[in-house]
Amino acid sequence: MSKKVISPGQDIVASMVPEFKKRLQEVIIEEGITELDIDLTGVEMVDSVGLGAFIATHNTLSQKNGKLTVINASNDIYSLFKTMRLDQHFEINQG
Amino acid sequence: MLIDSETTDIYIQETNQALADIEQTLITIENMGANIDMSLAKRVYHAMHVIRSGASLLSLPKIKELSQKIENVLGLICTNRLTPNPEVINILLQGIDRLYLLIDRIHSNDDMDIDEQSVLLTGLTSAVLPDHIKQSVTEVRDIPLPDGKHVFRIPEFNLIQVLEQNKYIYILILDLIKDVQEKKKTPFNFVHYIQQHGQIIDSLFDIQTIGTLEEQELNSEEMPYFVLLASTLSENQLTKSLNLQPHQMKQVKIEISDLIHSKTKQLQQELTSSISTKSRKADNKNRIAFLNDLFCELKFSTDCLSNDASSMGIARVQSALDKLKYFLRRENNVLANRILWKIGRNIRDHAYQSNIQVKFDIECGTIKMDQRVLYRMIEPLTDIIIKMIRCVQKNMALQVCLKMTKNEETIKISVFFANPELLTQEMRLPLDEEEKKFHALSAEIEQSFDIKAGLNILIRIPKNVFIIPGFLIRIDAHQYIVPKVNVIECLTNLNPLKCSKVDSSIVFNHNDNCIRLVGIANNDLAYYQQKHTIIVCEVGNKCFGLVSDSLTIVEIDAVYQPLGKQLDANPLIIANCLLDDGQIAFVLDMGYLANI
Repeated sequence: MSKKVISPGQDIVASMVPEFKKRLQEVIIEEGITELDIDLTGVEMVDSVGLGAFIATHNTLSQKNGKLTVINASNDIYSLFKTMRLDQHFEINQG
Repeated sequence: MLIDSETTDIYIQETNQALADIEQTLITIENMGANIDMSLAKRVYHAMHVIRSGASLLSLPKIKELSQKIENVLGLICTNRLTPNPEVINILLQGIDRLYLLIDRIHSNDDMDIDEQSVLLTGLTSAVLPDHIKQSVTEVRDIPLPDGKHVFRIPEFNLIQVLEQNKYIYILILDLIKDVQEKKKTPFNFVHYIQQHGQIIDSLFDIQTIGTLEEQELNSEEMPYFVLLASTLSENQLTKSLNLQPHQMKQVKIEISDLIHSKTKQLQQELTSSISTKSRKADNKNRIAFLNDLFCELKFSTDCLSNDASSMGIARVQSALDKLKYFLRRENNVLANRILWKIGRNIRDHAYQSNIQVKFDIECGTIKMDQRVLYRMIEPLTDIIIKMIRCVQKNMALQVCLKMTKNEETIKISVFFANPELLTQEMRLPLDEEEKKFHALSAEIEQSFDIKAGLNILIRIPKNVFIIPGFLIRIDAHQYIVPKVNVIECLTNLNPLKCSKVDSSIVFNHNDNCIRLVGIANNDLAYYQQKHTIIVCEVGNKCFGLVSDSLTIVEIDAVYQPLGKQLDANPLIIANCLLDDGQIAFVLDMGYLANI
């Protein structure tokens, strides 16, 4: 099992998601990472497209028996993920 | 949406005020007993609902969760399904105390747990329910989604609660791209907007449709998201308010029709009746069956013992006694919190009377203790805490914590200030009286002080104590305990003339029966004629009257302590016990007395 932490360091919104997803694909598909932590330090907002990126990453990792963990989520993002029951799919830790 | 600190500060201020009102109203409700003023109960319920909604809006998950659980219990009170007796009110007050602490620490990100309060509140919710509803707490209802692929799985009890609040249940069929992103909304705002129109019971994403990172590159983005919402609004009102198309909303009816029609009706019928006694009857039946088994085993083993006093025979009796000991321990042991909560009430009352601000936090976890010991700890623990409070200046807001931990043999109780900096200099409390009371329970008490941790009172109490229910009497200059099991009757205000000497025995004439009298020191008639009381005892097949100087007989649950070497040789006594005032009482060996 190989593990990596990705820190986008900015809001995960439609304008940055294509680049972010490309980076995620590189890490999972090319580098073969199966345990991925996405560090949300400095992330204050996630829009719908951003949420889609998290779910797609989870789905991609699940196919490879991998695991996604979201770390350092702000109170708002933590609460959003919880309300949307995303914690039933992957682990979410508050900052 | 980020909540600014000003909004949070207003929430803190308003919630603290609301909690203070709720606290006082709950005490008023408790004092009303069964004749509760429903308007008061509903006021408290709505105040708690406002706190929960605020927590939801401000993304305060623990405050939201705890206030939801308190709200559930208050809902039961409002619908007459739960009588707000002192125990219920106390559990609510404990929840409120924890809410105060959570509110205090909103900014500190302190991860304070709410497990203990949650367990008590949830226990209350399910414990008071009639059997068929009790099941609903664990029974799960499937609510399939219109896509035919997914299902919401919801505890039936949650659905019943929602239905009882006259809410409708809807499935919202959403797409986060079309309904949120393209309308220039954020998911956070959107979800909170939905929450302003109802209660989100559950929600789920169709994660298969969303696909993997590679699939998303090929397909147009789609993010199906389903919400199970409870709302008082009609379908039309809700569609309009949430700006949705009619096909995006489906009212849940058929899937829960039995809950709407049958269970709620059944529930209402049972509301007025008492809690089902079925389970209690079953429990009693099991107890009696177990005692019957033990009786048989003791009978057979003692019968065998009279023929063959081998080590095997003794081991058999011992094994039956061990089972009996285990049974009694299980019967007498209760969760410490179920009894020690009264300390919180005492402290609260003291705070009101003294016009001081004190919060009391009690953490007992799942520790169980003999309830007779727990009851006897309430008074000395309350006194210790009041003495601690008095050490600090009156105008300071205090928080006193009581924490219980255990290891294999001992239970430790720590009492300390959550804000130790209040005491700037070392101090020692005069705890002589409390010490005596704890010694009577075989417990040790010690106090320590250091600048960082502050004042700490530590009580170590054995996990299992042997309690002898008996009568405390005075004979000559000493105090003795007569085990209750040997006592048939207590005769007081004696007429000394009724004592007489027959052969070598002194007897007392009572209702035309002669009772042979036994004293522990002397056997002349004058000695017996001075005594005030006779305790009529039975040991085996022998009956006798034990004479005592006590004018009144006190019933006592004494904690057994083995005799020291010096007393071990005294055939009159079998154990000793410390009393609450620090004096010693000896447990009489009734077998020896019977043979005098």
